[in-house]
Amino acid sequence: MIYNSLNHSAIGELKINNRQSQHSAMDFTAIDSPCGFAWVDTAGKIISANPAFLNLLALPADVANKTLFDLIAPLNASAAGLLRQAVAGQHTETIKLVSAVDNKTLHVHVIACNQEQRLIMVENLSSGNFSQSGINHQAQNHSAVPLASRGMLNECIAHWKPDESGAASLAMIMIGLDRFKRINETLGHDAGDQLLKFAAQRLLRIVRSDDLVAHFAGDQFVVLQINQNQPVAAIAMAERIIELLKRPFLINGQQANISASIGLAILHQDTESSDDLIKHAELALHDAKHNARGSYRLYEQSLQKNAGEQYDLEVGLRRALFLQEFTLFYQAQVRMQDRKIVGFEALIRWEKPGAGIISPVRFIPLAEETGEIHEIGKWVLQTACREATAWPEDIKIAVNVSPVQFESGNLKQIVQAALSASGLTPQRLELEITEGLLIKNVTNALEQLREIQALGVSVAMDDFGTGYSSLNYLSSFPFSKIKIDQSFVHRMQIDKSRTLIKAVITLGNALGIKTLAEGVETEEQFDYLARNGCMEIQGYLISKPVPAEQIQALIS
Amino acid sequence: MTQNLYRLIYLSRNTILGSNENVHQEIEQILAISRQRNAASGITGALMFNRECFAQVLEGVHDQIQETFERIQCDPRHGDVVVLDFEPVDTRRFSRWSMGYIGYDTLASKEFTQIQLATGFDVKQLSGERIYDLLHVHLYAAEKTGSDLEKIA
Ligand SMILES: Cc1cc2nc3c(=O)[nH]c(=O)nc-3n(C[C@H](O)[C@H](O)[C@H](O)COP(=O)(O)O)c2cc1C
Repeated sequence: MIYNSLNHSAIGELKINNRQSQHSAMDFTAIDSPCGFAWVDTAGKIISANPAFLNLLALPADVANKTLFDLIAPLNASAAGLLRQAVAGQHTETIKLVSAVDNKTLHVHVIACNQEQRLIMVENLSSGNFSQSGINHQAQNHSAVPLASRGMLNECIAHWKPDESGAASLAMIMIGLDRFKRINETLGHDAGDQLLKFAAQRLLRIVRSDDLVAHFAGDQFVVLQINQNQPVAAIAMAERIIELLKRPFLINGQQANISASIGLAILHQDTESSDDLIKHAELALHDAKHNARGSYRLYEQSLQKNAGEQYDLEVGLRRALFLQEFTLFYQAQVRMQDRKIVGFEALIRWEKPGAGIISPVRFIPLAEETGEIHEIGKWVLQTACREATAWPEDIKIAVNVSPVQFESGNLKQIVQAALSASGLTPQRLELEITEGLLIKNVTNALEQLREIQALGVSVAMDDFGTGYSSLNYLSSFPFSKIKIDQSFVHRMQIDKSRTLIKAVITLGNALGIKTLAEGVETEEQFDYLARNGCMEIQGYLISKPVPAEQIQALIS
Repeated sequence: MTQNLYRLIYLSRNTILGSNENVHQEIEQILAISRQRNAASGITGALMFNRECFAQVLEGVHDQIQETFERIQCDPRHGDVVVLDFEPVDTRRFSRWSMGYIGYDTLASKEFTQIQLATGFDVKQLSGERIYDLLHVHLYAAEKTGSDLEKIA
């Protein structure tokens, strides 16, 4: 292991004024920094240098195409030799040099970014002006921790070339601190800044001297592995980083714990262009955070595809209401004793242009996540109530509501508005809720349910048996109906399913709650349910979900 | 706060592999660097080792402990670091040692093992205070008899 923090000490404070094209060698002449900065080729020929570079090394104004070693020799002959070796080598080196001209102590860092070019940075140790030249808030926060800037990172990526062996590759390790916001909130921003500093220092301690460590964004860092065997090296590093950042930090007299998630992207291993490296590493990081915090994820093409689809879906969903892409279909609910239709369940359908019908199983969770569910849910209630007014008075309408809709606290008002706008009798409306609602904040949920019930609306427990199935829930509220999930009906040949169905029906009867079985497809299933006292069913045996126009035909 | 005196007590799992000889050498190295660096940054304390685990007490100014601990945290020779205690104190109790050491064939170390066994290696049950006292008592006793202590700075 190499503990070599010196090598990075110049990089963080660079002031890069204009972001350059990523493909040609960067023009350094415009870089305004107290630190000298130049590209040279492996023969030491200067490609580009900033004014500070010329100044610190006492070089003439016109250095283009001259060799650095020759120019430097008068300043310090032995340093020129060391520099020649360093530039020829593949690794990052730091040379300490005392100028014969003015006795300044300089650090010259040589960074091998690719096969042909070396990045050279010169730092004046005598002036101490380094730590003051932070370019932005972030850089100032870690003025003591020398990290590469984002511009540097881009440069290194753009100029990377494989080594002769061809076996090695460029790997981006994108690190996100998982609970960083919480540290800021609980311990204060000052503690947060310190933690960032320590995290950066830990990274610098364990990387190889030719790795580049950059502060990428607020709580994100990047380690760039220049020429190592991949994905082995990147995975090993990711595991080590995760382990290391999990260890406690001591901040402001307290212990602080965080974890890190990591996304990895490797050039020529599912990432063909270096332009995509950052994007892919971010996608992988996003996926890692999503799956399990404190884990790492290697980018692969399927991630891109999923992310692309997910993105389309999200954008499409936002527009769908406005573009009237939703419709309601209705599935009949019949009484078992005479097979009479007593109600319909409203089911939402999304026809997305170019993509066909999107299943609610896919878009409802997304709508819940983005909050779109509030508007969609409102539309469903209004539409279902309005369309049901065209049916006979003794037919009810059942509408699903998501637990998320209870979070806004105004569901009762929305229900009330849908009822009064449509003129539907409240007793004809039934809301279907799932067990999930009663897991979080039961008291508040029950309170809202009671208010809604006071309007005359009934409440059914949907998908019973799939979630937590706590029988307690059934006694916590006067539900009008228990809906037995279709998965049990479909697996009725299995003993366990039959037992559960029987238990739920018996329990419902004991509590005076109606039971309805979903997904009934065969007469055999119908018979079993009827024999055991189930009251209503819904399923293809009776009817598939149909558009509003076909309801009249079903009823008569 | 940053100039206040603090003490840190932590446990970690040894990850040094190889022969006793090898382990011994590594520990010698850790002690040598610790004594040198701790003396320079005004840190005192003690380290105990029982083959499986390290237990360490560090006393000093907040920021110095912080800095030293960050270095220790990155050391590949141990892992699973658990901080038992980090709090302000009025006085140093290890002021004589920049890093006192209690090795694995000592009474104290055996006692340490027993405490660990008794708590089923559940670090949450281990009290920092107990480790602290153990180290303290044994360092002083060892100093008197010259028996338990392998090396004192
Ligand atoms: C269990 C353990 C305890 C250590 N205690 C100290 C200590 O008290 N002080 C110290 O400076 N280094 C201590 N070290 C060594 C540090 O981890 C590190 O190797 C040393 O400070 C040199 O750091 P550097 O290479 O980053 O300069 C300890 C290491 C281990 C494994």
